[in-house]
Amino acid sequence: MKSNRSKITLFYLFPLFLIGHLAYGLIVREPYPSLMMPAFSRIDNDGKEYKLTDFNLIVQVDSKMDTINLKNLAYPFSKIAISRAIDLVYFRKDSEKNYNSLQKKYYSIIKSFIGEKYYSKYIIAVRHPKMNENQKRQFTLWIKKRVSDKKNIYGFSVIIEKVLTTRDFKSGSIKRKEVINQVKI
Amino acid sequence: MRLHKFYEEWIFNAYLCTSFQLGLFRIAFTFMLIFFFGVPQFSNKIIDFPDGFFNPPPLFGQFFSDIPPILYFKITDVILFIGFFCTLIGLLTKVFGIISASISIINFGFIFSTGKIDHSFLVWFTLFMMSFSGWGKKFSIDSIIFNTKNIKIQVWPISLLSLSLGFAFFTAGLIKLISGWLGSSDSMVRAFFLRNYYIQQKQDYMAKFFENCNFQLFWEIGDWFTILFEIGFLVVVFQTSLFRFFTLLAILFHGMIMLMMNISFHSFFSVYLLFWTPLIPKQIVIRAQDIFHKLTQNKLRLLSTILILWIVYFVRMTFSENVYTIFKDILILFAFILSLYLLIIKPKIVFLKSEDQTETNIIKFDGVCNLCNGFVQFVINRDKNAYFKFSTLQDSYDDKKEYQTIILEKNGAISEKSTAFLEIVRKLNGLWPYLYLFILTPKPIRNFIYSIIAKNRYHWFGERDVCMMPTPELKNRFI
Repeated sequence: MKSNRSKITLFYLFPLFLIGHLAYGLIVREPYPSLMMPAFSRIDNDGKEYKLTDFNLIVQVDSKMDTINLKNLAYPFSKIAISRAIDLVYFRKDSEKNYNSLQKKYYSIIKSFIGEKYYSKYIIAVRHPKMNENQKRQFTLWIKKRVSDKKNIYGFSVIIEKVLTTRDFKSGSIKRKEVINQVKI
Repeated sequence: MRLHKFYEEWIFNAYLCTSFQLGLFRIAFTFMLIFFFGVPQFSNKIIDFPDGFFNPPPLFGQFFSDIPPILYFKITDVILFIGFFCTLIGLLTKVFGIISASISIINFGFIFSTGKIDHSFLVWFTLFMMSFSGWGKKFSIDSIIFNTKNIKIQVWPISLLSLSLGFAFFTAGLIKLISGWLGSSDSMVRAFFLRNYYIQQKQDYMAKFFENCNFQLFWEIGDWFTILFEIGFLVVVFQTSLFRFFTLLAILFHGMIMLMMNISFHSFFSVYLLFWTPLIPKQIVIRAQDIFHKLTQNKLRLLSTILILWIVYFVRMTFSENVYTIFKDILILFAFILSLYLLIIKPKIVFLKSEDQTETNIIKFDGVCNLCNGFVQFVINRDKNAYFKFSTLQDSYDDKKEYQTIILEKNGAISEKSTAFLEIVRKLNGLWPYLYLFILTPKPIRNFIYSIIAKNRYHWFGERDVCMMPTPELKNRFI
């Protein structure tokens, strides 16, 4: 009976934990362990065209230019994980630009409610954490080592372009492509 | 107080099953994990990990300042290797289940420190929670070594996991809903598909076909189905048969996602199986008992079986990633076709309840009402397994007021009005069991509509002077 009581208590507390971690995951960042499922909902869609950001990796040896596929470079990690890492290390200031219009609206409400200081400290700093110089240096070395291994080249630099592609919604054909930021490593 | 009673009843009784059924689930679950999902091995992944990059999600990762050395992962890989095998054969099942699940959860935390969570947690959480259920009491080495006869099994972990699964799907649906998934002028499924196709370069299976598919209705249905299905998963959590129906929908959903977007959620299949455990047929349990009994009688045979399993397990561990993928794809395809078959051809199985296998069902109906007689004939034609027996209300009650509802008597328990109607159609052949989904409509609304029809049934459909007389071949179905 006593042990049943503790289980019933667990069953009353568990939904509260679930709701709490959902709220935190929605506003700040998905925690781990997490019982949330992926929602795939970050795209703005007006039915005519859709905009997506991606990365171009250009390998430069002397004056020669070559590209490398990020999906192949990331393997066995997912392209999403490495894209996020690239974003955090080199384009952290752009992070909020990736939100869709509704997300932007929600966050502007939250920001006006809790103030800029707390918004930066408790939401942005957790959602898009700042990498220290050592982490940035090591990540850069890791990228270059991978490129070197894949292409079998040495003494090169890599240009990472953050590209915004606008595609036609129906056909998927590219309407516009613009480099919105770039970094040379 | 009533809600508390209902909640308590659900926690401890919703998934009542036997220790044998739980034992069979343990074997099926670990078998799927080992042979289709793969025992997680972390050391080979950590070697490729971006150096110095440690950006863990909140909660777990905050306890660590960096990723542990590779030696830690090599040691835990060996423990997992032993732990999964011991859980499969049922040796120190509880201990190895808890250890394997805990290590997997912790180590995946390090893998996710690049910021992308792959949501396999539910699988390890199932392994963890089910270790407390007593799933190692039968069909296990434990049952030979220790006295496990009087140990009580626990089914509350299954209820907790159903709540977790329902909630997990709900989160996905809720986020879609509040981020304008249904509000856009065009399909969000289409938008997400195109993003996946072009940016993530997921262009295998049927992706090319769907890229050219401009059939607007298909994509719109995709939008609505996704939201209703994902949010509905939490709504049905307290209705076990509907919850099982949703696990089948989930397999169908994952199959479509795999074919369209090449995203695999195969690991959840082993979790879905859990909620079907109480329905494992008696014949299968008896057959398994028989096989296990023969093994325990002959120690040499038992040892050689374990040895063969160990060799197969070891060989399986040496397979490359490509072979894993083939296994996974076969599993998804098989599960997808099976769920399609059940949903279209055998919906009666979809809405089964565990008590259906043992109970007797008597339908009591108004013998002079044309509508009721027509309905009884309709039931007889679609009740191939002869679940139901029939009796007229006139035989049981003298008061005409009692004739305003059909009555379903199951082992002494009585359902009436719309609940009785829905419980009856749930067991019929054909697509009729889908009407059972109306059980989600609040009872007062259902019964209100039922009462309107019941009050006007003589007026609309007519009445007879005498009660229906069964034909000779149906006589044994009438009481």
